[in-house]
Amino acid sequence: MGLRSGLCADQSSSSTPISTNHFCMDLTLFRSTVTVIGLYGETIEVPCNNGTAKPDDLIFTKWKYVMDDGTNGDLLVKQAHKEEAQIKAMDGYKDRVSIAANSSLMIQRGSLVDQRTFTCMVVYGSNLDEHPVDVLVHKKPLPPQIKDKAKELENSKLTSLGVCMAADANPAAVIMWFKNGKLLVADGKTIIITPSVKMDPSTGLSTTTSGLQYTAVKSDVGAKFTCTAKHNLETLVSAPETFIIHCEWTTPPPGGL
Amino acid sequence: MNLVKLILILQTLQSCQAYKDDSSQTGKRASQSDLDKNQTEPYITQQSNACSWSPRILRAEKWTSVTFTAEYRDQVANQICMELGCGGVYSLSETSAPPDSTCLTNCTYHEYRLQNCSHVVRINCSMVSDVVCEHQAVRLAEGEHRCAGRVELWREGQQWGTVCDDEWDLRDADVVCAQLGCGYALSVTKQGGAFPQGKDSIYLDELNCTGKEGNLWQCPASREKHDCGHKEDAGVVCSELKAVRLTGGVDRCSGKVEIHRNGSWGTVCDVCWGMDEAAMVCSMLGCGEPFRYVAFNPPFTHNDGTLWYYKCKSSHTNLWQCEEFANKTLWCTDSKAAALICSGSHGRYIPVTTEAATTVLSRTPGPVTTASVSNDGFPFSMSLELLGCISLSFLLLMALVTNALLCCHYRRRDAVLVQQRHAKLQTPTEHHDKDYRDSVNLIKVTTSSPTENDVPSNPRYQWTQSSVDSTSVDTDYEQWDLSTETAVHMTTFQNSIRYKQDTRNPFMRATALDSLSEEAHGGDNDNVFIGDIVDQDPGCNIGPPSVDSFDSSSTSSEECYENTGKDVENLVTSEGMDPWQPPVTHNANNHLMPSRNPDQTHSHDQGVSDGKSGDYEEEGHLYSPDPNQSSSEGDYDDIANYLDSNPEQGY
Repeated sequence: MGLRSGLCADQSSSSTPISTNHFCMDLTLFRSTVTVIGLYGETIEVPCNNGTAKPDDLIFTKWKYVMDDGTNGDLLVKQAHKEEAQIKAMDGYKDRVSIAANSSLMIQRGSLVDQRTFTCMVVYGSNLDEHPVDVLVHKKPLPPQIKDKAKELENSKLTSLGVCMAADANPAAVIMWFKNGKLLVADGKTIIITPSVKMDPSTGLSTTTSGLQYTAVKSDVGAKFTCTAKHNLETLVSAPETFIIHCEWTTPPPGGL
Repeated sequence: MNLVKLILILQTLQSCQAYKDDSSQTGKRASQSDLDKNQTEPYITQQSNACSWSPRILRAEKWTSVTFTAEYRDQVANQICMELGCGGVYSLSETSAPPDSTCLTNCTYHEYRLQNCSHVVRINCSMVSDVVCEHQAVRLAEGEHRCAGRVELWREGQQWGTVCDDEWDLRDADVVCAQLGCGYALSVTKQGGAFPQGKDSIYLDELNCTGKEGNLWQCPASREKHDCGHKEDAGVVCSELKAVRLTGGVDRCSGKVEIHRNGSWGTVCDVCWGMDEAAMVCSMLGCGEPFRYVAFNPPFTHNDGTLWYYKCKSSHTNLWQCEEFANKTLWCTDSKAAALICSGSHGRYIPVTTEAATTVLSRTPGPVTTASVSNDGFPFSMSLELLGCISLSFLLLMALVTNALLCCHYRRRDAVLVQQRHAKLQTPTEHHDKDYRDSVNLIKVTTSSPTENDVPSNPRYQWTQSSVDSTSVDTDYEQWDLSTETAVHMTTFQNSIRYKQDTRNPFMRATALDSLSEEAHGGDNDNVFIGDIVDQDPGCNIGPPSVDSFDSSSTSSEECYENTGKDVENLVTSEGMDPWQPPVTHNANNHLMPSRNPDQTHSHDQGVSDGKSGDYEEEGHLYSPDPNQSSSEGDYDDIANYLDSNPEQGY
């Protein structure tokens, strides 16, 4: 119970977790917190006690959540002796939540506002257990596209090749440039990559853009440039682009042009 | 010898003790010796209540009900109740014994035992399990719960009777509450109390119980003579009274749910509160349907009282049928107090912030209508239908009134015209003048305020523009102006073919012309008019009867009209009639012929024509109206006169 997994250290910044479910042992609270990643626009299933079977002397199961002001709010209560759960939520969750047969909370049309902690409270016999779950909502970016493509590249001249954009992702995608399948690494001189991330305040989704400035060489004729958007859900590759390389001959090539 | 004596004494002592134990009278017991001795002897065991008991017999080491014959059952029950000083029998619980059972009868009752019973075999014996004697029967009537109400006692023959409130106090009431298993007495009600009066007999008065008695009959009281009326019937509210109420709302049908027990009001944990429970409470309070029962903001807090938790099934209709739990603090962890707004609530519930709440807020408190709960809850759906009905009936009324008014108006007008006709046969011109003047005004009015007329009157309107000439037209217009309901105009017009034509083709000048001519003589003779017009006022050239000409004429109609006015006198003289020829139907619509039918002429026209009878007489010879229209000659003549003048002016 005293372990602290390295993965969870930066959990708050929601960088790229590589698994959908992982246990984080919180040292301070001595309580295991489960994290669930839901998909944007889909129904998020939040398990209660990891889907453990309900106790025999169950009185009721209640789901609650931490509201924006930090206080707790009720979502629904499912009494053991009743068929239907009673929705207690009064805000945007009123029409979106339901409880599954295994006591999982089902949130429809998940969006980034659902990134919070939900708690399953189970009352049985003379016991009361609470099982909190942190919910993250991820969305893979739209397929990356190279925009503002250079009309032509000039030999040995640093020119802006294009801007790659991967839109509406959470967490923000990471864009990488490839030439003929080989990763282009910025060296500040011949290859300059300028990334930026912008977040849409209404949806909370992030759009990553990356500008590539490249110095072409003769052998780059017909080279295929691609940009990829790396995301934990899926890495997407853009369509390859080739550019006309305009050669500036300082001396006429041997054998004439 | 001594030893033997000692042993004998000891044995007798033992047997004596055993016998003593046997003859103990309280509780159901069976010593081994008794068992051995009297296995089949029934015992009478008393319940905690003094006057209810159960016969028990030991059978196969178990105490069970005693089987009596059908006849003996009532007799023995009555006897034992009497012996106990508990009056007669109020009720007994029994089950039918299987046929051919061994039944007891003709027993001798002695100190809680039935002895020397005869055993017989019968087919319809009864196994008696419990007996309640008269004095033990008590109930609380007309309270919302069995633990509150007017005290009523039972007596054979007189049935339920009441108790007088003289000397009626909590100690006396305690007895009743204990009898009913309702705890202790919270309060007593006397004369003018919460519970309504009883009727029939009054059994007891001036009770003076200690509170420990088993029933009221055991208290010192006055039985026979009393000076009471039913106004003074005694009542009581016991501590176990199950009651529910809503507090903190705008009225008794909204607020926090509170449950009464033991004299204090507790609250309900909202974890267990749902639609079923809300519906039960609303119906128990007579407040209709639940309107809102979750998500109150700000939420209600618990009192310091009991925390109630209910497990209700959908089959339950009353909250007291549910499984009830008190002070389950674990279950009620971080729960709020359940609250409720029923549809019978008349006003706003404050504060509420969600949408549902705002609908409650928008409802303005109206007069108390306990019967129509649905109206309070959903006024809008009702009012839509009501509004539709009301508006439809209103329109009907309007139409009828309009009809009547127009009718009267036309009649008056006819009367006036008739009078005028008779009185002023020699001065048709004046009439004409009037008409013309009026028509001028009419035209002006119509032109200036086309919007006043409805669509149906549009053709009319155009018609007026184009057909200023006909006095009948004028009169028509006059009528129109006078009456405000264009719809009526339309109907009247529709009645006559002429008008029909007009309305049908509002945009065709020809029709207007036709109508004009119709009025004049059914088909007038555009030719005639034309001729006249050409002669008298080239500016009003009508030309061939065509739409275009009429259009042109319409613009100059006013001028022509006015001119015509001057010429009317001239026209009135038979001279103007000379060029007049029998109407020839040249109108495109050819409706002139039928239009000449007098039946279809507007009564109004008749009036007009009557006004011009003089002209008619003078000029009747000038033209030969169709035989069909002989009766309408007057009309035609008059119209002709007018038309004669009109074409000069308007065409």
